[in-house]
Amino acid sequence: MKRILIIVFVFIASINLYAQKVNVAAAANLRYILDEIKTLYAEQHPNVKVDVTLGASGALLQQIINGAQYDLFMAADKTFPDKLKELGAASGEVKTYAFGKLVLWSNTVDVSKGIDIITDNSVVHIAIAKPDVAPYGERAVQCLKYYGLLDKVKSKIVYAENIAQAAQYAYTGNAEIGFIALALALAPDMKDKGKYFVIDPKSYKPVEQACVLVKTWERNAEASKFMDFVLSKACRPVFEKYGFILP
Amino acid sequence: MNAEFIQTLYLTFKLAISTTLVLIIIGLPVAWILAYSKFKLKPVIEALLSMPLVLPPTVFGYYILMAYSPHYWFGELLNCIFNVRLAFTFEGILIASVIFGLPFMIQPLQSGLRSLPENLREASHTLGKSELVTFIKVLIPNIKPSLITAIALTFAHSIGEFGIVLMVGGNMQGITRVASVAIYDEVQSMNFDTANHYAFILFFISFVLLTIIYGINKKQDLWKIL
Repeated sequence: MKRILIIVFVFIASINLYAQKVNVAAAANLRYILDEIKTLYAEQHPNVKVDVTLGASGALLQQIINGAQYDLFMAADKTFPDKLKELGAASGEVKTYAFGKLVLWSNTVDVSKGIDIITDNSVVHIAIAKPDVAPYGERAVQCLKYYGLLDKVKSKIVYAENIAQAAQYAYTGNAEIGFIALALALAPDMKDKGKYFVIDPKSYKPVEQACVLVKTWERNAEASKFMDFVLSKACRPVFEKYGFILP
Repeated sequence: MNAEFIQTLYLTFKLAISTTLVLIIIGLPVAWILAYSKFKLKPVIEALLSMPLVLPPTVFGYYILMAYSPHYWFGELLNCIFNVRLAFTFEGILIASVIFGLPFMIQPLQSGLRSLPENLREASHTLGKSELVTFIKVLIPNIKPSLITAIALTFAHSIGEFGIVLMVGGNMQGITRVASVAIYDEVQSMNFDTANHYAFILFFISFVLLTIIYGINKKQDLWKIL
């Protein structure tokens, strides 16, 4: 019995040594981008396993503050990694990796004319991600205020947990229009299923998406390498493909 | 204790009470059918009715959201013919809550009916009473503990409903934002005080409810009902 346990222990320990892991907490709009980046990274580093957890930046920040074991935090807004750094829970510098764009998306109504469509009677529900945890949701509210439409459409707004759920509401038609990230609108799942309209960037504060390494008990060298890879030239085409503007 | 807090609690109880009432009306006949009839598809029906006990609420909520969607036949039917959209409405989460609460109402009732001696029913028939009168005047009064358990369980379960309401409700203040979702929200927004208030009230009420059930069901072991 003891021998079996020892063998099992050695086996598990050796697996640990063999497969390095990087746990990434990423904003929901990065889903497809990270899939592609992971594939590119795996080609050069086959022994490293990159695990991505998606969510609203605010929700992920909360989890990290409360001890969730992530190595890298890629948020959809600079304020969240900055907050982490302020609390002393980050290691290294906060780096901006891309600038995102807000779009209107629909597969029910015609959004090509612009934002005024949301006041139309055919739009019963508008999906927006919760502003206090999702940067794109916050921008959506800013945009509505800029155009003076917030009061008019307030009763139609449905708040989703994160930008992905907002996209889901729009995709299933339960909300006729969704304010989502361009990255999601260009994603393979959404691309041909509906139309999008790029909202004038001057109506909202720029979405400066930034990332930072999380301070962990053991220094995870792989995490640092992965972050450098994401910021490197090799990944620029991927970000551009999904509509991001690069710093 | 501000207006929003009270409104959320009111909404939570409105949902729980409505769900329980609807389920009593649906549950009694179904429990009767399952207790007293035999038909080939019975195991399938019973399994379907018990699904909410094992299916994660988020899975269920996801399918309900698809069902409500005007892109699929059910939602389209409702939209075109009745001009009704169920997603993000109180009625929408009520229907989802009712379906999800089915086993909590039906199973205790079914067990209660099964445990009644058969001659009770037969005696009523020989005295010339119809099935319906037998059911209302003889059977139901005799399964009072099961009925109370069923009502209490359904009510308490509905108060705690989170996954489904989150998926289908859209978190709209005053319409679909019930206490369980509100707690989650307040924690995410770091309003720990408010979250605490909600949580304590829910805990307290559930606790009181269960104490009452155990008190009434002194004579019968609760687990035997289920």
